[in-house]
Amino acid sequence: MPYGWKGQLLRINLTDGSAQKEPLNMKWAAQYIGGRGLGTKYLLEEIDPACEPLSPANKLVFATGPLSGTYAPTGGRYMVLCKSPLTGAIACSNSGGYWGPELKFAGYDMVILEGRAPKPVYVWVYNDQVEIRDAAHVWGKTIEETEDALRAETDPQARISGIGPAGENLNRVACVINDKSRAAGRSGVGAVMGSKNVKAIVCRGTGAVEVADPLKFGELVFASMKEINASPTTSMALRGMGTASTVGFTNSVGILPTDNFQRGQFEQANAISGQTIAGTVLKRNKGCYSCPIGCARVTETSGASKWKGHGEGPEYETIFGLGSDCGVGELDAVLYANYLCNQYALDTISAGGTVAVAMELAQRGYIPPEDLKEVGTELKFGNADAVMRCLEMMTYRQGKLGDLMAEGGYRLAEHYGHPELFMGSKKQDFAAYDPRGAKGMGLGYATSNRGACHLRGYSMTVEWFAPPDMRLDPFTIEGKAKAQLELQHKAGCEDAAGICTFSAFGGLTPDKLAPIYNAATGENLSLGDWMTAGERIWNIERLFNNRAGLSRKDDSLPPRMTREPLTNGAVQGQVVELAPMLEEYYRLRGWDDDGNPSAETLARLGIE
Amino acid sequence: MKITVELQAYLEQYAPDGRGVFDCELPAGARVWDLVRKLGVPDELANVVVVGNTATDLEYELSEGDRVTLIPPIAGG
Repeated sequence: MPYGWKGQLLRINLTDGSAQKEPLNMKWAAQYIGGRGLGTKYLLEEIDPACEPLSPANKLVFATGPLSGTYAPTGGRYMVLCKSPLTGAIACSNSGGYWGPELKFAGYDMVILEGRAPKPVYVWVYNDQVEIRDAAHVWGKTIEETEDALRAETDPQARISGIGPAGENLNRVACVINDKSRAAGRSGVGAVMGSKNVKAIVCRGTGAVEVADPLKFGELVFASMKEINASPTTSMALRGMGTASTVGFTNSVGILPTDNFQRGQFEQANAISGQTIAGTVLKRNKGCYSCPIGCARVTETSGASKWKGHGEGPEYETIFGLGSDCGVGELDAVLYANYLCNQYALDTISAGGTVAVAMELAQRGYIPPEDLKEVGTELKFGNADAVMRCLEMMTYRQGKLGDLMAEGGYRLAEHYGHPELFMGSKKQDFAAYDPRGAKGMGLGYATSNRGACHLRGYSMTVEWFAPPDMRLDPFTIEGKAKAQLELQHKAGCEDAAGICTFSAFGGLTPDKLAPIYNAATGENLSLGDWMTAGERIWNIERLFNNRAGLSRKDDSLPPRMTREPLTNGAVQGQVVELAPMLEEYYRLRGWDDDGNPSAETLARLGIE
Repeated sequence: MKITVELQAYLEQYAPDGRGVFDCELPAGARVWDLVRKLGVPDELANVVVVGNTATDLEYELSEGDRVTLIPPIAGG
């Protein structure tokens, strides 16, 4: 058995109900590290990137990395990959929790779902026993109901990754959720699972993941754990306040998207900040598998409002998506909306973005009164009732407006004749940083292979979060293309290896991660080899997208970002000068003017 | 001179009365780092400095009525 891997994947043909085990392609695993890279390679080889995403021709890949299931810091991640029904590009959503390691413990590095089941099913994996079971009794159920029911009929220690009603109803911003609240959130991967009539993959394994050099591995891991525990960013900010610690910061400088990115400061930001959460609704923090950080929040509403519930969240992105971007500053309402998204299995970023677009369309009078009537309350910024109602409408495709919102914000805005009001790239909503105040983020959003994403090239880390002597001026475009390349390659390797990108905030940078990967797998990659692997991953994703019909025209930002200056905070007067950054980016990448990797670039990277 | 101070995230622990926003007296000509020292905030934790509507640094010379926001190392989203 190869070290770091189980050396085996599980291929489920849903159309004929067969399940086959096959050897993992170890040549590809070495080239693409694993997870995101390896899953993309399989998709590129096995599906037509031009296929209809919600048809049986698409495949859904659950891919772990070589560090998933080891005790590497944050080594609990896995990816869900397919062609996205939201963007038409590659979808590669990352999740933590415990499901990825459990799949490895059961003996598999990857699951590939093919075809379409004739009726709702779930997959039950117990070590080498695999069953495709009827799921009629859980179809239509929420995440919590589904997990409780399936665990009761399989194994009390089973880990479950599945969809809620949103995915079943082919909502294009539906996500896949495991462990009740950890989401492979973006790009509508839940809709693809729903299109295949698969409710969940239930997993229980009793094996382990072996590493090549246990002594070296242990030495490197413990050094990294120590560093993560000493870092203020990971130990004080993320552990103490979660990702929500960022709210006050982005609001102070003026890049907290508010009212569908019409403003960058929110008057009620303090009510939904990390400090407020820590002092009021937080019950405890929580960590994923082998995570020394513990950034997740377990919360319960205050009891002082009509919004009552408990669950996990909110993350910073959720506070923006369901809070400031919809003008909602009531903390209980943000929590409740978050819990709803967890139960429906909706991406909180894109669900919030869709509601925010709807609110701006309504604000400008672009939605006819008869459509607005379906909401039952005024669809306006700041109305929490409207947010809850919209989440329900889009999940169950209720009415004309609900059906349109289920298609995502871009298609909604396009339907009403104003696609320019959609705030995103490649039809995927922006994350919680207004790129006008961090121009590298603008380039990152535009070039992200999976559509707008903050984590693919997390330029905030060098434009604002870095120590002053290492920071790039957020208001200039100089050096941003080069920085994006490095950030995109770095993140690609993290997602491929099976660890969380937040570990880098605690010092687990590529120069330290590559040796851990080497000790786990027995490979001997230099730092240069490691970053080249990241570049290889980026380029095959791009190849996938090019073959799906995407090109330079899709590496774009809405006119609000390039023409309308922000008017508040330290960032006032700024817009994103995308064109020159993009030109430099293509040149540095070795791509042609239309964004296709050149033959020389592909040869240099060993991409066949 | 009197200024208003906002300590964000876990810097709140350095606030004199535990509240994140408070007024503070400083001698005329004081710079941001004078404030940071006075509060006992380790230099490396005063990572981002915003005065009014300007992102600046520890060398910035303060004026009467300024609002100073200090942000520690944070990340994540």
